[in-house]
Amino acid sequence: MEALTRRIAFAPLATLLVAVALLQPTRVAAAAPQALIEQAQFWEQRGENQRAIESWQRVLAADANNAQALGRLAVLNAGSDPAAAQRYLERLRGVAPDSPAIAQAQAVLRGGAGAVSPLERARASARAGRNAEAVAAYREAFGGPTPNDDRVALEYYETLAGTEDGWAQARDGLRALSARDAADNQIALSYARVLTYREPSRREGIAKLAALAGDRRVGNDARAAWRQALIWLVSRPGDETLYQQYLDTAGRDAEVEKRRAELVSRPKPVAPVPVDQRLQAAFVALEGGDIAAAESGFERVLASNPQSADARAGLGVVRLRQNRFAEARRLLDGAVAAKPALRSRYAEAQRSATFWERVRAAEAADAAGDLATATRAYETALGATPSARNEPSIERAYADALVRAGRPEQAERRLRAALQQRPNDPQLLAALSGLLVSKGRNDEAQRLLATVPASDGALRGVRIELARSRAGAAVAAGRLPEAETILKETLAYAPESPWVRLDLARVLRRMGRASEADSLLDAMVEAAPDAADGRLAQAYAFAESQRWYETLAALEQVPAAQRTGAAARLQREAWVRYQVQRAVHAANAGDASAAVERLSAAVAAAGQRQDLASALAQGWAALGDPARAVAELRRSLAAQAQPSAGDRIQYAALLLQVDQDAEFEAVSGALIRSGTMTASQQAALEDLIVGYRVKLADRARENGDLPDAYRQLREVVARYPDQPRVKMAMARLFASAGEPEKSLALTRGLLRSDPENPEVRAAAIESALAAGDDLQAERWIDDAFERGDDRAAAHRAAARLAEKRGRQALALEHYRAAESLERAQNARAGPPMLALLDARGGASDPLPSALRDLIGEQDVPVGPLLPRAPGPDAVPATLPPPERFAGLRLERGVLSRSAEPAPTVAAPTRLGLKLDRGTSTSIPAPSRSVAGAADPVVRLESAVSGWAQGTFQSRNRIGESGLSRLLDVEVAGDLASTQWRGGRFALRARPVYLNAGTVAGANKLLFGTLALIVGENDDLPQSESGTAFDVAWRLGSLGLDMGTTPLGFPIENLVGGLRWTPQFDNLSLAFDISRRAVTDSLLSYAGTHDPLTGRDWGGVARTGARTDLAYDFTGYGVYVNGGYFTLDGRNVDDNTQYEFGGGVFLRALSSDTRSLTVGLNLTTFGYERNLRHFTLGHGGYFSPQFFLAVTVPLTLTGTYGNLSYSAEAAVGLQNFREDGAPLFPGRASLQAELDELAEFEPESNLPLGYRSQSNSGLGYRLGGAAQYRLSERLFVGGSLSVDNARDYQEFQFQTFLRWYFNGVQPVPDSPQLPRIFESPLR
Amino acid sequence: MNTRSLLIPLCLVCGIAAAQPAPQLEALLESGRVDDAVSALEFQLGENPYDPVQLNNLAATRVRRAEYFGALELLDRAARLAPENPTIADNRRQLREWLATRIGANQRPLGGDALALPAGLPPPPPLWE
Repeated sequence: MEALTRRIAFAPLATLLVAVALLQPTRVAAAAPQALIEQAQFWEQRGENQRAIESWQRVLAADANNAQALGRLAVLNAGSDPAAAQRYLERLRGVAPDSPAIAQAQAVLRGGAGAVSPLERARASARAGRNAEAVAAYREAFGGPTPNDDRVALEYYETLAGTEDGWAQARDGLRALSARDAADNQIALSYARVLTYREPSRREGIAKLAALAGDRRVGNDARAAWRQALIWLVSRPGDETLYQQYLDTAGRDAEVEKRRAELVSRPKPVAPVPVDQRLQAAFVALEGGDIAAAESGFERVLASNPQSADARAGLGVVRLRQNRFAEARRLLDGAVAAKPALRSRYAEAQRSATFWERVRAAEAADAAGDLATATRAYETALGATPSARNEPSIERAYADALVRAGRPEQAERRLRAALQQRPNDPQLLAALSGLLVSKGRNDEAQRLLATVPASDGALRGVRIELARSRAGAAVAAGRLPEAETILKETLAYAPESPWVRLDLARVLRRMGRASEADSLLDAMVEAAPDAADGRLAQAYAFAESQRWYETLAALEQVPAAQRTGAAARLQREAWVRYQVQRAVHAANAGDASAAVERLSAAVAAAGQRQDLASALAQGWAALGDPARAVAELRRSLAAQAQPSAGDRIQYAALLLQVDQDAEFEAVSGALIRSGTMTASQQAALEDLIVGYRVKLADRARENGDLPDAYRQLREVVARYPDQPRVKMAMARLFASAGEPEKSLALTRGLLRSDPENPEVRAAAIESALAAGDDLQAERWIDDAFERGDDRAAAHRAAARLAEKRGRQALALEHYRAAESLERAQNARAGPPMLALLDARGGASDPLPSALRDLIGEQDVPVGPLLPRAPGPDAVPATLPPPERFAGLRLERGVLSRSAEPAPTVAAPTRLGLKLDRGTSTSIPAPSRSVAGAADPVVRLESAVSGWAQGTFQSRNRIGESGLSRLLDVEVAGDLASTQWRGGRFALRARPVYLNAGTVAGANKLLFGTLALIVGENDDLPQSESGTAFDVAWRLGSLGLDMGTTPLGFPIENLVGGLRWTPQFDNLSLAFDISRRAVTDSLLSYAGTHDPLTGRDWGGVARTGARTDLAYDFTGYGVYVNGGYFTLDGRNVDDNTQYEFGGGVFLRALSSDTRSLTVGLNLTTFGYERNLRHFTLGHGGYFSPQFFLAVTVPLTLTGTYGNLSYSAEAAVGLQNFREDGAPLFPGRASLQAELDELAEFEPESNLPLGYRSQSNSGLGYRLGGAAQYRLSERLFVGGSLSVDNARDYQEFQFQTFLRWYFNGVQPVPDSPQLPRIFESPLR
Repeated sequence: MNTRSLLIPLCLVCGIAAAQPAPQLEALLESGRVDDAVSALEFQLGENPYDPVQLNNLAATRVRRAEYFGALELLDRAARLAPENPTIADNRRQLREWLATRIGANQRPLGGDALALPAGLPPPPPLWE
């Protein structure tokens, strides 16, 4: 019995819809849900459950109470959405409480998520050929032996028909269905097909299939089943019409023609010589063509008389008719041997049996690929038969085998000899002309065919092949229009040929007419009379478009009996490539297990096929194992004598991916030199090379070799100026080359054209930061956070921006967040350490957490434990080179690059040139390397730390005792908080002791109002003490402080200020509004007491605003400043002051550890009034009406180990002019009294006022400071300076001790001296 | 070479494989004898290929030889055999997640031969014989 495995071939959806459209209008309303139902069933049968669900939902939309839809939706949703499934089930119970679908849905729901429905299992078993298992599952799905759905019934019965005992039941079921709905051709087809499974009903099935062959919907499948039934048919005389009817309907078919020819040429049954009635009846049945009755009769005779030669001969003839040639020959030989008289009667039958037995052996060997055996068997068979009687089809098969065995000349000789016997035989002509075409002898083939009329259908095939060959030659020569013409003519001649259609589609696609090609292929299957041929051609078309699933689906439509070796080879290739696709898909979805499983299946199926290595390599690359991909491809290429350019390009791409640069260059260079690439392959390779050039350029740029980076990019930019990756590389180069504006312009353009690309956004942020466009950078950083780009990179960018804005605490938060994210990423970089299981059960004990923490994430070395743990990494941590200003610098004519456009390392050290008494602008100090600065977190942890500090400062001014002389001793205690997001607070308490000596002698006339009593007063010691307090806050570049002058002084003032110091790249600005004590003298600072009037006076405070601006051109710079102030004090005339200054500076020497700066400074200021004296109304502070100083400052700063030092010297010329002043400015009555006194006592020499003066002279300042880091957080330091000009000399000494609360504090570039008269946070 | 000299190393391997408590395996691994551990575990699995514990341990060992995909296949098998075992489930989850991350990190185009994936990827039909 034939084991049959059949599945329903469903018509495409389009056909269903067309069929629906063709229905009568009155039936449309009813047909619409039916069409939707069919559509849903179609998707279910394809295994596409989601689409099926959608279709069933559309059915419900058309018919809300459709029980079938409710049932299916309950079943289909059971796995993915049990709640929905339950809802559908409830509705179904309400609508159709007796529906068998309820039980089915309940069963599936009980199975829970992931349960496979019995129907799905049934179909899977049926696909795998396990028909009995499938039938059991179907019955489980139905809840009994009867299907509850017509569509499922069809597939069930066809499966059932393939079982040993189920055929009759299937036939009956289908007959009932067919009777109930005679118009349904799908049912009719299934019924007819099942009838052909058994010999007794095969002819009935054939007749039904013939009737269905013209149907638009099922015609193709009916023709395929019809053909198969004819091949199975045990033919008998009279069956010729069956074969002929098929050939007339479906066109030429070699196999069917052969069957028909065999039947026609079959020897007529020999008239038997009956020996008894039973034998005679058997021979009559044989004569009448009733093979089954004859077989039965002869077997019964032989059962009773095994020696009956006649019965054996008769049975031999039966076997001959049944094409069981080996048995036929044995029976006939036995009969003739037993009864030689029969020889002449059965000689022809014997020859025929022998001939066909040998032919079948040849065909079997041919099918098994044993060409040597096949050709020998053909030769023996044909050699034993006179050539004139040889079957042309066998001659052709023999010639084909000879050609495939590499003996085409012998095949040609054989065919030409046969043609001499049968000059116009179409089979032989076709074979010979086909042979000639295959050898490129098209002209000869054409001449041969010219002898036969074009209408001869037998030669259509070879004519088509000839045309395809000519078209192929034209394509190979690049003459595509000629190939198109040939193929179009051929298609008009043979519209049914899928191969011509495929060739033409290929040509059209190469000509860029893809849509025309697609429409040709769409009609391929419908046009092809032979469904298998059409499906195969369609599969090839899908394969060429890399549509592997469609390829497999098309191949599945090819009946098993018609699956050629080429088809099997294509199926394996499509299967492997499709599994690789599925593996990549799973990998992308994060399902590593499924990815591995699918790729492993592909690897196993690919076996040793080298042509599939590239697909597997692609799979390994996608699964994150490019090294294996390279190895796979390398093995494949090594095994090929002439690897294809496509494979070599893919290999080059993989090499690039695994950073095998040298081999990539070698492979791509060889490819270019070979000149064998197509235009598209050249483009693909060039694309890789562009990526490689970008990589080389980035590498050179990172190494500081900008010229080489530009060299790598120059050609690429010229060829592909619009490629985003090229633009981004150029943007990076511009940023590194100190042209951030160009970089920003490029990335802005890129962002406009590709705003969704995270790489472009990252590049834009870098450019904006480098270009100093902080607002833009901030917007893009916020955008990056919102879009979920690389969060670590976004945090780092935000940290850089915050640090640039002086928000170090915020910067630290961002850096820490970035580090945390990167740690998490790095933790995933290495493979997990999987837990071992103890064979006795349970996991092995893990290390205690404390020990795990101790080991951390570091690798524990394997091997024996060494007696001493190796020290820390011997390689010293490399410090970044000195950080200059972002971008390039020109040194000694060489273009080079700074390490990176790094953020400012430390707050600018102030290098005040004090000759001008504190009026110059601070210039930005060069920031040198700072230990630990390489790690921003370490750096910022130290920068945000709070501190406690104690300072002792002594200031000594030479001057007149009791007046301008001053000893100022101050002890300041500071406490600064840790910086947080809201900034930092600091407190300062500052006990102060002032001593100006004693007012005695002539000086009494110049003190207070003592001149009015001609100085007749006791000596007046001048000393004061008190404690000042200050509180300060600072956030970024903004600072605020408020406090008092020392409490305990005769005059106490509130002081404070607001200061903003923004930085724009090389431009530094400072805006300052303040009220500060004037500390020139005891009078101006503390105020003092006038014993004559009993009043206090002095305690001057300066209130006003000042702006500073400095620009650093790297190596040199300029600065200017200007300010305006008012000065007020108790019983002191009010005053105003302006100031203006400017200068240039040049860094004469700059190295990692020291820097020498020289400059030229100009300072000018002036006061409205001269109030520098010590009589009542004066303020005791230097207040010339015009002051000008031109100085040359020289400053050396540096570090040595833990020591920071600075030394400064300044020398210059100064000129000032003072107006004369009354003795008691603003005190007219006192001044009048004095004038009167002087008039009465002219000998007293009372001063009435102060003379004006103009003074020019040389001035200098010398100073030095040092600071030493005692530990990571403790510093001690001090300074000593002398400031000298005509009539003015001041010595200052300061020492301090500072303790930081956190971090590892770096050694600063220069000593950080406390400024006790300013904000503690300045 | 006498028979005894052949038997001793064989017995040693068999002994390790037969007992194979985790501490012994760990000792092998920590002394760098990863290949020996793999051989012993494979020998053990040759005796009983359905032992989820040894499948897990072989997976953990093969990870140390950078055979991640093979290790995951072993863990998949182990998990099918012992779905309730939390250690196997956790190992499998860890390796799957790590592989998924690694796959994501390595997703780079291969030039002109990019795959055009269809929207849905149902299982393929059986491979023809």
